[in-house]
Amino acid sequence: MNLLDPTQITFSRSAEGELRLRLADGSVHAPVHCRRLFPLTDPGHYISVQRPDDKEQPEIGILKRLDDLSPDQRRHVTEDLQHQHFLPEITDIVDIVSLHGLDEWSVVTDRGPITFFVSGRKESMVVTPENLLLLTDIEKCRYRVTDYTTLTPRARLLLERTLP
Amino acid sequence: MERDKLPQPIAEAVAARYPDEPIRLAISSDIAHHGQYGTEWLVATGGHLLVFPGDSATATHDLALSDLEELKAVDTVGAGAVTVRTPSATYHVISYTEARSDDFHKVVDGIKALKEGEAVTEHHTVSDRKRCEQCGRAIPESMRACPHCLKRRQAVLRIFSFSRPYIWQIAAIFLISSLSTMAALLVPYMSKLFIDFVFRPDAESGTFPHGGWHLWCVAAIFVAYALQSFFSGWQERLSGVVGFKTVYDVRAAIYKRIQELSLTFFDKRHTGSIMARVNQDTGELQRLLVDFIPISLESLLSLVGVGILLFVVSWRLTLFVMLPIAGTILLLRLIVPVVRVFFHRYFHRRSRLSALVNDSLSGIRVVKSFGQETLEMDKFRRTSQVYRDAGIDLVRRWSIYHPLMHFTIMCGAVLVWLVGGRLVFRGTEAPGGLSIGDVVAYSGYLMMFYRPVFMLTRLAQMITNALTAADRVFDIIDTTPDIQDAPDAVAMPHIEGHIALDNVTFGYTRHQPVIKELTLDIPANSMIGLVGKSGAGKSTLINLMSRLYDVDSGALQVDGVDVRQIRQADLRRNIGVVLQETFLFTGSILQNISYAKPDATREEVIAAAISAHAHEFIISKVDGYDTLVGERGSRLSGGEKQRIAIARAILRNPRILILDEATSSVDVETEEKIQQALANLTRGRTTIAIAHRLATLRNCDQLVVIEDGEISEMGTHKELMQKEGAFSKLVQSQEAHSTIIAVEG
Repeated sequence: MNLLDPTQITFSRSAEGELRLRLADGSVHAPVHCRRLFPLTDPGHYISVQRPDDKEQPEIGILKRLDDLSPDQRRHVTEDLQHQHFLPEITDIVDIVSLHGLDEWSVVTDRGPITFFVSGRKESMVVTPENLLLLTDIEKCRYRVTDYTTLTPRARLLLERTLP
Repeated sequence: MERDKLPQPIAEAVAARYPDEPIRLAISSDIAHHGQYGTEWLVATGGHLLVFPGDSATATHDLALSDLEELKAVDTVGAGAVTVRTPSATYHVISYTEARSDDFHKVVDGIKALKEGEAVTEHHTVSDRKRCEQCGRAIPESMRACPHCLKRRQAVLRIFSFSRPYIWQIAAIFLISSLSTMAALLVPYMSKLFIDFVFRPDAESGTFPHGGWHLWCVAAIFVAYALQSFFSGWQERLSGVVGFKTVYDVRAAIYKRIQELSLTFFDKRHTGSIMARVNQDTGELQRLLVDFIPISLESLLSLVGVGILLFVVSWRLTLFVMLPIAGTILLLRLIVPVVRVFFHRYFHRRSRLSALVNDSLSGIRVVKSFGQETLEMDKFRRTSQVYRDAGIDLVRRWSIYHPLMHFTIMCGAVLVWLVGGRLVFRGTEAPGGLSIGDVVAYSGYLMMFYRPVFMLTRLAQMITNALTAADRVFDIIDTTPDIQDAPDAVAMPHIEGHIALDNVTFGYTRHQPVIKELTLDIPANSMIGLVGKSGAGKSTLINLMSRLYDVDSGALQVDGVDVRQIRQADLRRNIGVVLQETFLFTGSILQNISYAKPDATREEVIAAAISAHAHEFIISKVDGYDTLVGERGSRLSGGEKQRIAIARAILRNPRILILDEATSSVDVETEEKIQQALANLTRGRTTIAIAHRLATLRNCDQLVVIEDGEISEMGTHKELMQKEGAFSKLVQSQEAHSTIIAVEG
């Protein structure tokens, strides 16, 4: 496992928006992408930094703690993470309407409000014992609620009426 | 086309900037550049690519197509982006969610075509998201009709269309229900007769002048009860028969359609959800037809009947009694949804607990060998606690709501004695005055009135459930198979076995071709070996040859005829398949071998087994050919299963044989047997083999090395080894594998 020393590396972004990484040995990689290794259970740790152009050895290294980076550097990484992993967190449920075996969810997420359809089947709603809820809508877009018991009572009522 | 939806200001801005270049492609995204949901527009003219934020006519990107070294739609997790490479950098210009992925891939292909100076075809244009004609909402891609406006009535009518053959029985059910209700209505009236007439003593003599009627009235009550029981039993029986028959017809229709559907249908759905449709959803329909419709029919009849009688006995009293009835209905409407959530939570927790127990018990060997019993116990305790608490919560609510409801209902009875009693004091002669018998009969009718009220409040929910099930069932019945016989399909009872692929391109999802413009000629009676890494496209190629899927472009011909023009039945009859995962059905060895040819004689089966070298192990089984193979052949070893599959293919005697060789290692002796069996099988047929074993590779007339959906090398084993290309590399890396060395030795 190649852990990256946060003090020895520098992320930068080109004018067009390409993310670049300079390593301790002075080599520069571009473009690079960041992926969380534990996107659901530990988003703040273990970020894999990759160069997609290298098919044989795409991973440059692993960044252990996001907070070890300076705020400036961290912003570059989180921006890219946001782009690489689109899994909106539902913060509130406005309504769930049942229509013909589909449930129409109107929700507020950390990426803004959205309405989508979920089929009433078990595989489209996964709940873990830790109360993590993963939803897949009928167009294969995913949404999550990290701990559904922390939602407002009203949202929880709507949700629990719909759980398979 | 989505181009037509482009906001006017953006269209004008593009026209102002590039007056000579008309807009050729346009598509809207659903993620804005800051990562939030929002709209941006990607617009392509003949020479430029521009990106606009949805609400502004100021372009955020403006690139000349000639400056682009590369243009790609790159899918990330849950989303994707159009990525460009210019001489200075690689970056993304517009992002979209998974839902728009297919569309963006199409448009990017279109922009690439523009860049090459080619014309934009309909493959590159994105049809506008369909919008519902009635409500204007966007219709989700995977739906055919707007879920908001789908006509419920249609689903109901369709269920009943399945009941049409039983129309006379249904009419009889209706009639018998009415008779049963009428008999039930007689009972409270008889109690009135008892009180006001039979048991009424003569004021002067103290005797019962109408005492002679006593036995007659008892007999009437007896008959009323008997008739009611008889008719309701008869009705239950009749409607059960009609319900089961209707559901049987629906189930047969859905299963027939499932068997007809192409594999693409099964790729898109989980086996579990298809099974749920056949079992659960038709079961839901059954509940509707067998249990619910008869009950609600009866409820409706008695509601009308009792309601009329309540008014007839005393409309004044009825007006008062309506109050608690309205209260009950209101309460039901308020409480039922809440209670349902608690029930739902309770059931959900219960299924979570049983899933946990199932998981842990089926992995008990792992639990034991890692010594994690305490961990499992803790997990169980936590889940079980949550389940317990949900149960307690439910009981707490129920212990409030249930008595409350009961009390509200009983308030009606109290009112009868309060208001009815006052009316009795008026005397029967006064307007609105009641006799004691009237009040007793009235109470009886009132109690009869509540049952249908309860039933009908549940009506909406039950109908919703059943209609949802009906929709899902009809969704399958209405699906048309992707692969169908062309109307002018040719009958080809005899096939030689010459296969030709001409520029074939195919992918399971449109924007990811697995086979890329592949051309290959396989002469009749020759044996071709497909070689390559996993994921290179070998299995896909044989799926195409057996026409489990149709090619996206190019042509696949058998004996010079396009497979899409050959009658499927003829094609299938001439193709035999031995798959890597040997699938045996539950049943005997005999049944499994003769699956290829159900009318085969026992001799033919034995002959096939002998040439598949399966006979020798079958005779050592206690039950010989009648040996049961267990679920999916679990009672046989891997080598035995393979040889039964080979026997099955030999019995089929196909012109074209497709062989997906198993990689599983078996002992040397079994391996030899399988090789001999395969040699018997492939003799005198066109064979396409996905080959792993060296012995098979040597026997092939021609080896085709597939890499990334394309042919990278072709030739005999010897030629390819001398060439020292991709094939010899593959062989060398496999040579280390002990089984191959064993075969060679």
